[in-house]
Amino acid sequence: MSEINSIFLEQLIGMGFDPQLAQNALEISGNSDLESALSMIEILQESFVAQEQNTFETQKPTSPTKQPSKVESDEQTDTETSNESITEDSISENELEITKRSKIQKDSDDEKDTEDEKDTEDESNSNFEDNPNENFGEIGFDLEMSQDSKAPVKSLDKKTIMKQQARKIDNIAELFQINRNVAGVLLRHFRWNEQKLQEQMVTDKNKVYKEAKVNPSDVITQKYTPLSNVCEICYDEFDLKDAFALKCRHSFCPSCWKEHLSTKIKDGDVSKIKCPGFKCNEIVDEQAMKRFLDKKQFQKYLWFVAKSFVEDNPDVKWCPAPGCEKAVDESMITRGTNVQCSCGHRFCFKCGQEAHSPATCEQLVSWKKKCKDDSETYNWLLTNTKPCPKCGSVIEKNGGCNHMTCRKCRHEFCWVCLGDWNLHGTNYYSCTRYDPKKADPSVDNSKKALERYLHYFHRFQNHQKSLQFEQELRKKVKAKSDQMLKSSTVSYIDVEFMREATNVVCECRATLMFSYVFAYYLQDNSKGKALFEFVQEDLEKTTEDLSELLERPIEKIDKAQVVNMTRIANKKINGLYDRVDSGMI
Amino acid sequence: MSLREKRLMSELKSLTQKTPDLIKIVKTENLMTWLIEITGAEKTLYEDETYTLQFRFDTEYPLKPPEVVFLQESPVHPHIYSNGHICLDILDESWTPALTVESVLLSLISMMSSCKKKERPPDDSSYVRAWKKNKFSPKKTKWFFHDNKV
Ligand SMILES: [Zn+2]
Ligand SMILES: [Zn+2]
Ligand SMILES: [Zn+2]
Ligand SMILES: [Zn+2]
Ligand SMILES: [Zn+2]
Ligand SMILES: [Zn+2]
Repeated sequence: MSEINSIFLEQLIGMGFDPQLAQNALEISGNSDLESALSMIEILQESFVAQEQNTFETQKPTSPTKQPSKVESDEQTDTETSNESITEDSISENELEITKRSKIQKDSDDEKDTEDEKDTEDESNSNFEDNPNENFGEIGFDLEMSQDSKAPVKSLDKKTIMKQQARKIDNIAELFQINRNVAGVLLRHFRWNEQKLQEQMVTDKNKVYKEAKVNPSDVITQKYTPLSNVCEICYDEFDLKDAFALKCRHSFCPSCWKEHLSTKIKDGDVSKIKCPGFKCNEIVDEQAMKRFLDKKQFQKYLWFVAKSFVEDNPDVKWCPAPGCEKAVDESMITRGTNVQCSCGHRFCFKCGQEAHSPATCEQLVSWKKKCKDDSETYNWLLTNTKPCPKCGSVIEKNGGCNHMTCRKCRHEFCWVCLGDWNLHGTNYYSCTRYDPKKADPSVDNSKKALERYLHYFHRFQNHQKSLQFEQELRKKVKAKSDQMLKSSTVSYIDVEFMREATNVVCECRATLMFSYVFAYYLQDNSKGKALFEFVQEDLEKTTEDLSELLERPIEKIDKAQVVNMTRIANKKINGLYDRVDSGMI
Repeated sequence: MSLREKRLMSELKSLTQKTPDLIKIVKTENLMTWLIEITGAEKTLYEDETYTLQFRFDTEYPLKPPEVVFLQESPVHPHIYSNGHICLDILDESWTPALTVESVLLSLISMMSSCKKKERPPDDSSYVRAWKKNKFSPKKTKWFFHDNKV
């Protein structure tokens, strides 16, 4: 029987597989490559489900480094979305660059993504008729619902990341008959773009090797002996017989090698561990790592290397939620640039901030700055309380729904516009649309601009506040579901619709919230804007309806109604994104 | 004996046996803290000027660089702050365990010798102001080495 390839074994263990299982899989698959071992493991796992143990590393993971994504986009279109704040930031950034060898306690806050703006070319409004006024008469519950609410989300966990990385390395190593270290360096150099690497390798192998600074003949089995038997670190003499050296043949005793490498691992400084020789650029390979590190350190090393798969790979991003170690890939983008990690956190795939579509990353930055600048002065406008428009008693908003009922006089009104709720059934336009014509023509432009801003900000903040009740709503829904479970014969599946509906309400709120940011940066008189606002209002209405359904006392919750409304809401979110994506805005 | 002690003993031994020009070991009562004087080389802006350096070696030496600062008056130089902190790559990211106290000293002398104009780093005042608040070690500073020639 062939000897077990220990590097493969370590890697499999590092991925969290049971050592025995990994060993079996390697044996059966003939030790040839990691890929076949992994498929073998899958087969073995299926047949012996019980054997699978999750021996996954419990060591405290270092929090993944989040790098603000840098989107390369030279062509910044001239929509009104470009703004002063960004230029200011870049100036101060440049000053930093100029200061030679300067230091600074710098928190890099440079989320200055330049987003490709949608072409503002006008397009026909053909989508209009079949869009929001569709008759949702008798749409029953169907499975489609959960599909369009969110693509099945499965973030990449530690295991998957290591697996995907190993697979890519194996592929390249096999395809070009090079060793895995070289394949790894090449892939990292190409930021894990396997296809591009393959193409360029086919075109000009030697050029690729040169660019990535690797030598394909660097065979791991090649042995080098140190030039001297005096260690350059501890100055002790050592036995050259079992001594180790890289190609540069700098001389260090085994114990100093060990110390040097463990210090690097301890610091998490793993990206390119080099020979300790002064100004020596020789990279320490996996083989050497394995030789000098203990098991735990080597596992840590493998994980660090795997992390570069996420960090260097523009198609994969860490979930920025604190404590979450998962990554998401581009295919998980749901709407706009939004992704949802399987931990529940929603964020923007491009900039890592909260999920802010349909507003662009650039708009978000500019909006946040604007809010920061203006909020203090106009804070008074945006408090949590408002007087009841009828009797004047103070009403505090304590739920997500905008349909308010005064405790004292039972007057029903809209939190946003303070108008009578009954009138909203037919005429809820006034809540979403800012009409510049209505503004007093005598006021000067700056006041108009402020009013315009406040119009959007008010609505933005309103949904933001509602969204903050999300947690509470979730809890309430959970309690209600539990109660339903206890009180009747319904199964867990039967109350799943409540969870789903809550999720959708939250997504509606977030979408609406940022749709006001998006709308703020749209030109007021464009035809597209009117359409967009129509869709927005429509979604808003549905959101309120759904939110209200969920706030009802348990005995009044009608499953069919909730399910139906959830489905409608989902469809309307899609409708809103269609407007954004259609490029006609 | 730890690696640090072993290293420092042999470094000290070779440095006292054969001290290079312009360098004078002042005090090493404590093996972990050394005071060393350096004198500016002839025909340079710092000719005949003498400055005192303090080396501190933490437990990770020589795997990690020593902390090196000028005491009292520091030379006026574009990479030396008025609080004595030095912006030199080998004291930070370019450190390797194969470097020694002596190689640090020689680098410093060479850095001073190649200086064309006595001036402080452009951000000296803001840096020193920040430092005065909590007296952080230069090893805590994130240095940016844009230019290694001066
Ligand atoms: Zn040694
Ligand atoms: Zn070397
Ligand atoms: Zn997450
Ligand atoms: Zn973004
Ligand atoms: Zn009232
Ligand atoms: Zn209203």
